Amino acid sequence: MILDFSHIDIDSNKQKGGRMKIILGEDAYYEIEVPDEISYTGFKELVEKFENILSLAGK
Amino acid sequence: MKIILNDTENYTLGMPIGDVNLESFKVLIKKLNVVVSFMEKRITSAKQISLRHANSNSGYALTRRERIEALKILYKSKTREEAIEALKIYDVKLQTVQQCKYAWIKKYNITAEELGISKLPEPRDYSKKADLKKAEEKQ
Repeated sequence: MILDFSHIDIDSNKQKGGRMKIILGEDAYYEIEVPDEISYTGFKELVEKFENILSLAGK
Repeated sequence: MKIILNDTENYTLGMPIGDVNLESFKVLIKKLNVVVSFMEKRITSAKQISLRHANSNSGYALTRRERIEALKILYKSKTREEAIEALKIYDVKLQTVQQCKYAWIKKYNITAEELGISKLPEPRDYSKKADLKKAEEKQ
């Protein structure tokens, strides 16, 4: 099943994984691998990881 | 990205790949948290279905743990529909039910048909049991 997240406006429709490069500042970035497939637990951990990156960036 | 929820349920979610600026990343995290809550609800719902399925098998008695889980669902129910779903988990085919469960049936005026049974159960009469105990003690 493909979830329709148009109502929460996720700014991409890429359904495959890949490398995400989060630009934290002019010379700072963080690269993270987004898998094609992930378990629910893995997904929650990924979201937690994203939150950690954000807090590391001090934002 | 495909998220595997369980053996029968999975969801595909579009994720931004490549460069993502900080503002978009913050928005993405908020949205992913919405997805996490959605999936948590799906898991709770699947758990309820599993309990219902277990209870619908004739001759299968819910374990104590499952009954406690079902009772939690009943007490947390905020709508009539939720209470009906929770009561269905119980073996309401029994002729009598505990007063607490009966109170929910009365509160929402739930019918036997809505519970999928032919006749509503009666509240358990604890006084009779107490009287019997007293009579036994006298003897």
